Amino acid sequence: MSNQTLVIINLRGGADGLNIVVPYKEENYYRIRPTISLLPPNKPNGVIDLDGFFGMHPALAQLLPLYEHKELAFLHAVGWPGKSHSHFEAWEEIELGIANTLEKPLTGWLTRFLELTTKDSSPLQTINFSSWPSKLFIGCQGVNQITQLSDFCLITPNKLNNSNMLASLKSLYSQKSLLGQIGQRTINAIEEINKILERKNKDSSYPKTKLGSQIQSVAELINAQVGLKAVSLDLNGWDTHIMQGGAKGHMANLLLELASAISAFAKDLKDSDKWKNVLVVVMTEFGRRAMENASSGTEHGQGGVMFFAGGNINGGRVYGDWPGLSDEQLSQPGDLAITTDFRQALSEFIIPKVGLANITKIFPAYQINKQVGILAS
Amino acid sequence: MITRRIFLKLAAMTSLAPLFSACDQAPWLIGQANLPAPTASLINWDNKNIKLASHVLKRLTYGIRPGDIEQISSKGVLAFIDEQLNPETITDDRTYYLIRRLDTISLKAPDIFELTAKQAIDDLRQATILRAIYSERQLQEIMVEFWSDHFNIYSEKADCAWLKIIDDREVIRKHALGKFKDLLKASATSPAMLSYLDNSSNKIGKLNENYARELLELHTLGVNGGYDQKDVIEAAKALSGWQSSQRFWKGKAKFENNLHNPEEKEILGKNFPANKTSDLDELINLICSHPSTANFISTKLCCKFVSENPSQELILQVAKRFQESDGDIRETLRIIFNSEEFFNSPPKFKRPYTYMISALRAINANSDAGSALRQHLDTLGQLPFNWPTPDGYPDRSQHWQTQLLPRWNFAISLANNQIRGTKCNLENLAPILNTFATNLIERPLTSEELLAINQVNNVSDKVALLLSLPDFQQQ
Repeated sequence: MSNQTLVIINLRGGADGLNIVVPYKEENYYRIRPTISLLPPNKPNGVIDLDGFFGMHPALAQLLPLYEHKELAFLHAVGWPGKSHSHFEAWEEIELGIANTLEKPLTGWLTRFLELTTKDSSPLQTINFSSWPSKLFIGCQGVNQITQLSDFCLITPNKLNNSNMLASLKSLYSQKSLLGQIGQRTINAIEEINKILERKNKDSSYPKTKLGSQIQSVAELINAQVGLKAVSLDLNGWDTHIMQGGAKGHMANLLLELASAISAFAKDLKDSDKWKNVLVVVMTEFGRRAMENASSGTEHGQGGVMFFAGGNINGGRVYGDWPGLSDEQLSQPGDLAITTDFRQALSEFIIPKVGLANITKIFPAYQINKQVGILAS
Repeated sequence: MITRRIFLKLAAMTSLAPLFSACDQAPWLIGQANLPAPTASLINWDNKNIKLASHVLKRLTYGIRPGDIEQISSKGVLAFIDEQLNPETITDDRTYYLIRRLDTISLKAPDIFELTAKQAIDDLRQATILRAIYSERQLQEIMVEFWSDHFNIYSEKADCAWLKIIDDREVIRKHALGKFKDLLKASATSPAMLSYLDNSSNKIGKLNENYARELLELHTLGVNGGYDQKDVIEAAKALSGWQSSQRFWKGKAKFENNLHNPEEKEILGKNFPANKTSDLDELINLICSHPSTANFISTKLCCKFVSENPSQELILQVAKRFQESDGDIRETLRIIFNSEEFFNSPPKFKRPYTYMISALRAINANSDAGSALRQHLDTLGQLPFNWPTPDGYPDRSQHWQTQLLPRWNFAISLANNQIRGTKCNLENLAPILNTFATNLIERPLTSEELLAINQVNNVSDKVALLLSLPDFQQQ
């Protein structure tokens, strides 16, 4: 497998998978969601058919070409098998690569994955764009925290002073301590990014949103071939306890923001022939309660949906065993059941890199049951 | 159109201006902090009592100001701690007058809604930052920050930009050093919280679990505190019926019996009989006296004031006092501040807010805490009331320590007087820079550090480098 850069987009808050990839053929869906359900494909504002059973939210329309080119796949009823329904516990365990265990690893799963797969040490190897207190990169020596690429420079009132100040900071942070190492890495990253920003050639097709400009930064780094291995980005606002909307409204706006960012990113990287080296994974901490609540929203649930996009996947399909939405099929207290563990899903691209035997180094004490087959071999 | 509020403000300003324009003893009466240029003092950092004083100052205040060490040394460290635990005994005129200018802070609830959302929350941010920099009641301000995280309200949600002003005044500030139970009850019935965690949408037959879950998980018991999903649902039923008042009563909460679920409930093994008017008090009493709450709150306080990994012994001791004192926050803190572990705790990495305020304090900056300063705080990642999720800004250094660049940029802007509304006068420090450096990091600069700092020429850039030192990132 030739994926070189892993782009993780975290939908923070618990994205409602049932209204993203909609089981429109399932009658129970319309029964338990009287006001927020999305209509079947043939109706106005209906979902976009994916396979005759599932349809995607119409706000994701920009992703249709990727799906049709088999560069986008969905995985349904996937999730973190914890029971607490807590955002914070869910993310912590997901990012540490565990579930239902008191023994917490000291590093994030991505840190362990990078340790096993990355030999070189570019100063821009891993970037965290997320403002969430993420555990993904805990223990990772190479991570940079960035909000905006163009802001990642030292700002001095007198431009002539800039390199002097940077040089002084470099020696003030020359100690071996953890803070010293972080300082050194920051300065190296500033110097690298300065070079990229100098040869700027802006693509204007990205949406003017935080995610849009951040994913554009990711594309700039990939195109500059600085050795970027993994990035983590956030899209917040999915905790839709009230007024989540249907084909229009709060959640539709978020989906549009997501789709336009991914679509512009794919187009940009296709133009530079780098798309085949990229894997985009979109995930959330849990799906939401199957039945809507009385505030036209949904409570915390379990099974949700993941997206995989890239130039080298078996896309154009909705993966996952469908557990169904009848009362008996739901998981207490009324959630879409989880049929694929999130670690199983992530193993799809981890196994080809590290081998099946090493998977427990990434996900401690986890047994792989089956391969889903999302990635092209 | 001039509203009543603006009219009063103009009237007050014009009447005060001639009175004080010629008065230079107290220009903060018209809204300027007007601190003198910073000095540096020769301090014996090997002296144990000096070390102790500085440790206490770094944990109980937002950072050491020029002259603070001498002052606390003559007063006595224990007397200082005691004073800080009783903020009502500390005179704080400068802050009083600085804040008085921001009339939003004292406006009656319905009048707040005359402002735009941005004006309202920006004024609250400005007041919060001014208090953090200039208030003599430093521990009070630190506890306000602690509880503002614990009972986080995100100003972008619904009406929270306005309602947070009332929440800050009536919930957080009022009870910051009081009884936890009173604080929790005030928060549960705070319109800002009702709105932020959707409890005002939680009515009979229309269950909304959001607040009930976070009440148990984040505000009291902790995620492993011994409750399950059933308790969340039952607690949500118990909490139904609390509404935010509308129109003239905006900013107040009321209980509407017809929206309350009157069923019998069982929460954490305790029976709540049917048909009671509001189960709120009983629920709050139940969870406040639960040992998990004592443990959870004590752990968080120890992490805040001692270290990220406080010992179990200390947590138990603190939790015991919390329970025995019926959740008295002052008494609980006293145990922490009197412990060996507190006095001997290793340096903690400053959160960005603490870093910014400590830099301003270290150089006696005169700041209006205006939009330019707040923009830096936003870039640093910790603008007050801007954290979206109910867990509040993280307290772990691993979240913050990878973000050094915004700190360096802030230090450069600050020392070079590039932040509108924030001024410092560093010229006097030029001949005594090394002494000033020892005041910041409690040791002389190494020869390598000295070399690095002398690579730049002007005193502003030198001070910017001092404020960027790894040691100054810690408290």
